[in-house]
Amino acid sequence: MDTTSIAALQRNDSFSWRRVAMVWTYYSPVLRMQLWLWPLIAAGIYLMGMLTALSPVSLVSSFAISGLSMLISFGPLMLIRNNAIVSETMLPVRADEKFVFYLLYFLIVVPVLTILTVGALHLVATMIFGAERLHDYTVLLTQRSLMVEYTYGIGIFGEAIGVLACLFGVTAFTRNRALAGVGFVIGSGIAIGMIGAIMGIIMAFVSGFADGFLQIGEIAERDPGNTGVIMDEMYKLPIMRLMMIVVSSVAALGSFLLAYLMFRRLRNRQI
Amino acid sequence: MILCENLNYTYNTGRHALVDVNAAILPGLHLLMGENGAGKTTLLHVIAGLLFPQSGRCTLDDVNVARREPSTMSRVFFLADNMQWSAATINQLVATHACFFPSFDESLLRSNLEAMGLTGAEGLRALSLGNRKKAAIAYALSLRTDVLLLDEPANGLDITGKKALQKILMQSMTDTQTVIVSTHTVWDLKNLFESVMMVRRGRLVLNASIYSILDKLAFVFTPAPVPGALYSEEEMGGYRSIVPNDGTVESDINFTALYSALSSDAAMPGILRQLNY
Repeated sequence: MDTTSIAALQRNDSFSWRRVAMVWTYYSPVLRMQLWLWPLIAAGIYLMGMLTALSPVSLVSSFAISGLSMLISFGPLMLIRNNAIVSETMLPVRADEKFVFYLLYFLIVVPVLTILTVGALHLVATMIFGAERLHDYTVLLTQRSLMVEYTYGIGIFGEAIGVLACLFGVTAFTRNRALAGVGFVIGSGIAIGMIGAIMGIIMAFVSGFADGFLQIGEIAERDPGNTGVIMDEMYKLPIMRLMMIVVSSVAALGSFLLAYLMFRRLRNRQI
Repeated sequence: MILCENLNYTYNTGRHALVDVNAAILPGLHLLMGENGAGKTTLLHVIAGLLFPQSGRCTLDDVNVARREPSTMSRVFFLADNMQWSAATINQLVATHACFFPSFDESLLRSNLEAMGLTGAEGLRALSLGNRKKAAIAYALSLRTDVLLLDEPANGLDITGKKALQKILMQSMTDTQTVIVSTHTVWDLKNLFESVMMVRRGRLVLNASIYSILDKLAFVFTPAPVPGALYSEEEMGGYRSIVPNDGTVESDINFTALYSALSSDAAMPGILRQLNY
């Protein structure tokens, strides 16, 4: 951009997509690395999960899948690589322009890159080892998308809340930002997990352990390591679906709240 | 013009960093003095829009800087004492940060860097504190923002660096630019300042041009204390005194003596009275 167009742009205080793009330019020295590092880590996690899925200790692979989710959630930690909080706060852009950039980058670009990497690797692995051998791992990999599907899309907030919690932590605090980011991700995970657990207990008792819960129990007893199949069966239960919708709705409310608080902090942050 | 109106800022700890600060700051190079914790950096933060006063406001050409609008923020730059950057080198900073500032002058940056003995390609983290400071000053001056706030720019600079700082400040400043330098090492730039501001316990006790100060005060060095001096301090070989000036005595301003006088409960009222404050 030449000086004249920058001058015209910076005289205008209304929302500008060009300035949103310029926020990327500003962060590019610290975020460009993430564009290859995150897919690389995702590939490592995928391969670890796949190898364990092919081995007798297949239970480990579900932990690996959770690692992918954590990887996406912790994406905003890259923002604090240089801890340039003063220059970041004084950046001549609107708070909503920074906000939009953060959401687009951490909720779309980073997850898409991570998922595409895993998807591509799984496609190759399926061709090499065969779909049959990787069936359980495929179920594990797709269970989160199943959750989104079964909850009419609200389930996506179960994933987004982690990213927003981390973003809130690193933007709302001016000191110990990494700790705040990690703390908020863990905190939001525990909160959602607890709500899910309470809902699960309530619903299991309300349904008198009928509606297929016993059947899942039998599958779990027969084949305890087969988390993929257990999860697959669980999502098919109407009561489980209801529970997931409730939990996802809570996650959606939490996500909106965190996004709102983050925007407010971006506008009012003081050094 | 920067206008500070009834600024008050109190930290969460209860410390009053700014108390009813009023100032009209015109273009030029201004020295901001004050003892540690007096409120200098807080005042710079408020002017830069980094802190919002609990009451009062700071405006740049009638626009409240606390609104942090792009049109205002692209006219202001604050260089902190130990500034952290988003980029690894000054050249990278030009590509990723300078684009927000329409008045950025790359040729000025190159000349400033050259004066500081740098190229812009050096990794900022690998540089020594002094060289990192040199690079940052060269860059900040080349942004050519209407308002430039420098917090302790000479800290950590060697003698060559201090000379170069003086040189590039003279080269870089425009007539419409307002540069406020908060520093304890006043001698490094003493010939350049056009006005002086003194913050004491959160209050802006003085904001006057050097010309108006020298019109009312004279800074003299004598073997013995001057009777009737507004302030006197012993120095090697004699006494540095501040005496009333009826306009006939020509002297150079002595920032150290002025600072000491304004920091003294006994001398300050007399000095301010003489300056019609």
